[in-house]
Amino acid sequence: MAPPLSLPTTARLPSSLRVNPSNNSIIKILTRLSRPSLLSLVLDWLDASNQSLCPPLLRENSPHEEEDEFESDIYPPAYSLSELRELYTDMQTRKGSRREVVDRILEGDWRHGLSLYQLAMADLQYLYDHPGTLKWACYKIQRLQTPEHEDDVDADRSYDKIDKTTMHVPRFHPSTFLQNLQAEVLPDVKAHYNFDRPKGLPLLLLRIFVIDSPYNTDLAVSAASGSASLTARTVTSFDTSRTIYVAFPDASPHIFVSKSQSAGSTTYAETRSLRALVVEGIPKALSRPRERYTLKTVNLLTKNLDAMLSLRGSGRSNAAAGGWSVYAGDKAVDARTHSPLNPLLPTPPLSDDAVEEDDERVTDLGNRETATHKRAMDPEIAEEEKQRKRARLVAQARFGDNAKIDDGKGVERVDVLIEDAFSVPAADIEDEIDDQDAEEARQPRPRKPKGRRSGVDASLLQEAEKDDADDPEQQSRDQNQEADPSDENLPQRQARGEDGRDREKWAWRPNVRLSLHGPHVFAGIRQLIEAGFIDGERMPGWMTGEDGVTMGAVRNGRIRGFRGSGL
Amino acid sequence: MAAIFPDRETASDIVYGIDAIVKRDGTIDLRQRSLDAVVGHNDEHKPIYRPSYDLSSIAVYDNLNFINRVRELACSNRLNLEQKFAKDMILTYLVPLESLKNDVKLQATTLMTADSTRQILQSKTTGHQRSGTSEAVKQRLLAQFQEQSAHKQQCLYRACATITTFKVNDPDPNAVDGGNVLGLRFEIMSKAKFVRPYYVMLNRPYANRRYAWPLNTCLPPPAKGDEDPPKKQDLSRFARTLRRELVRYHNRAALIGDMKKAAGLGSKKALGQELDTAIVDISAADAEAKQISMQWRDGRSGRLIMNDDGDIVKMVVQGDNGRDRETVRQFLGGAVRVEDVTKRLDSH
Repeated sequence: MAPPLSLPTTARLPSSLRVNPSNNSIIKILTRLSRPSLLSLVLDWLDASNQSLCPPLLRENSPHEEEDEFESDIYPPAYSLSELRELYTDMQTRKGSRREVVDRILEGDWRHGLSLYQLAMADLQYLYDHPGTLKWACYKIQRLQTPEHEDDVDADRSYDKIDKTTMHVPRFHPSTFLQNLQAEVLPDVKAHYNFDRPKGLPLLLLRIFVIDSPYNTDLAVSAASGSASLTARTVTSFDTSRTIYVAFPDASPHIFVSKSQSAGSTTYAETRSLRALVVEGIPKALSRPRERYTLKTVNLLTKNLDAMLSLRGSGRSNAAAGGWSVYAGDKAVDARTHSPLNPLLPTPPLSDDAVEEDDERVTDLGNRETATHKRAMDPEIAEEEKQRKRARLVAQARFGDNAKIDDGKGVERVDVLIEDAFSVPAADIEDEIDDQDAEEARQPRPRKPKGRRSGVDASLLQEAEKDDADDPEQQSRDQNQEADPSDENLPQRQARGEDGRDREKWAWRPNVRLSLHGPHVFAGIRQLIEAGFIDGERMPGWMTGEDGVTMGAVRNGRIRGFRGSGL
Repeated sequence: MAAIFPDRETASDIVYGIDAIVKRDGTIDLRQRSLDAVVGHNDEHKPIYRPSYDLSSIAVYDNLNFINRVRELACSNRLNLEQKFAKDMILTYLVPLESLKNDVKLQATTLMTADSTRQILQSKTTGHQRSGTSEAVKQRLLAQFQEQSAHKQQCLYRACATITTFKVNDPDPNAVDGGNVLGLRFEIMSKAKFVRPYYVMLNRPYANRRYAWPLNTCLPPPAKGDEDPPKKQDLSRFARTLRRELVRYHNRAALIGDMKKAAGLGSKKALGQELDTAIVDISAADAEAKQISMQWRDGRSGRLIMNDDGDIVKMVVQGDNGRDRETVRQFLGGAVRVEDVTKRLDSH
């Protein structure tokens, strides 16, 4: 049989394309799975519906025939699918090493190669087994304004403006999307796409695996070709960094794109550009004639998909983080307690504890002496108890039912850039006004910090600079002052207002960056409040996580760009 | 020896041979033993604590009093429970205890809001002479009464007006406008029940200018609200439009549910196994519940699109060989609204 012709094409890589099992990366992908998940994966492959994409090697002749082909094999191929299935089910009950299974797969039943589909399944299995391995970045899908007229397009007017009035969630159709996305991918890269729906998560996962090759046949994935350089290239091309996951949450105008975490400078740059390519391609693939979309990054970056879904998925929780979550309870009990037909007075939070205290009193009746004795002995303990309860109440008020350590919705890192002016005690302000000129001369706005900027910083600062010119709050403050005719000493106040604004503008703004790390950052803050280390009443709102971002710039104590923050 | 004590008790109860512990929330901690192991045995095998014995008094006892009573009996060494009986007791008393407690609360609430209660509380003469100590209690009750009747009024408004406003204080010390937040509450009825209200929280970041909403907890994208600055802000119009959208959404969702039922696809799985209807699946295809996807047994699949109000816009059925217009014609039968289709399906 003549080998199939390999012609450069723009088509995508077919799922049935086989990769040589001697490829290092395949061994790597398989060996990082645990034995049980590996076996269940193999049984999935052996499913009748998957036979077109991942057929194992079976003997064609009947067992009675004389055959010598596989005689010397360690893993002779099976005669039928059911036999093979039995074999692997047996392995499930038996103890053994993972190596055994991997060897059986690579040297036995799939010695002619694993298809890209199988690799994708193995990769996804690893992702489900270890859900914290990928970092997800959130993007918002926004609709662009449709140009009214052709002239507008020519004149570049209202062309790339975001249409704020529409809240349309684009309809997502997987195969159409893939077709469009493939059209956006450059012809010298080939991608393999695989859709999957993880159990228990309301989202659709798309795995994109990219290879640098103009061909979509065996040539793209063969490592066994003669030239050494080609081999080397193929090996790098199978790196995990070339895999990108895109998650489409159901009924939400957001998408999540995975950030690979592999180190190494060259692959890093490569991955970044690849990611940029995909991120650029996605809105185009979603768009249709007269319905264009763009992606806007939301400063949310976390490893926890559950947290991501509760912040940006569908449902009630996506705009009610932090203490606002008390309004977003979605359980049947909530519906009953909040029904207007429920005549019971709502119980205030922690009222269970009030009951508890009563109980204590009743049960202590018997040994009242000891109890009173104890209380008389330690007024500090009683006081402490009171404070602890207050702290818990405050935590409840600030966090509601959110940010519990065991709710599985923890973000692991929060970065905040504080842009507030350094607070000066009131007595110093007068002095400062006096020598403001001198101050000004000495201290230009420390907008541009020296040294290396982190990526977060740079993007946020850029945004800040852009917005600084038209700070709506300041504008409105001006308007108010001007529009206030009843004020008698208007000029003076205006002057002071000007002063105040100047001071605000020219005040010393130290470059403070705050990074909070931990398995569940906001639950940690909650615990600190409950333990009395943080004053929950004076704590700024962004520390409750109610803004739903993990990176942000704080101005006037509020995260910039958050709905309703006025910034 | 039996078995059931609140978890405040410690060593002294273990002396009595406690195996199970009732927690304050009414659940029972068996300390990892099975239910059968709850009870220890005493010398005599005569249970005196019959299920019929004290049911009426439990209704007014709270959890703790009940437990105390059990303990009292146990201490006087009269209580003796057989294994089976203990199970009975747990099932008859402690499991319904929560609902009984709720009943007590409900009764108390009803009593509190009754007009006669108010009269008794407000009358100066009675009770004042009889018991000198009741004055403080009466004051407390009166305060509770007022609270309760305010709540009653609020519930009435909520149930009838369906859009109500309330004030919230943002606990954030740096909050916009001193933390003043206006809350809109939308009551929506679905399946003859009030669903969890939808809330919209509004604050005023720019004085005299406009409201913005920090919170928007509704699933369907809301109305073409008056968000644009050039348009004049009109809160009541916004609230009305949003409510309309919400009601429409729930109506559409209910329509799809009705159609499902009419096609013989009940919600129960037992039903689903034995059904042999022509249509095997009907479900909402998008978040706004405007599209219905249908699956026929023979592999045809269809999509029905309705508009906001439930009028049929378009329907397409894809069969094995391309579009199947005949099925569409049969399915719709000249129907204009989705309800008509449901009726047709129902009559078949």
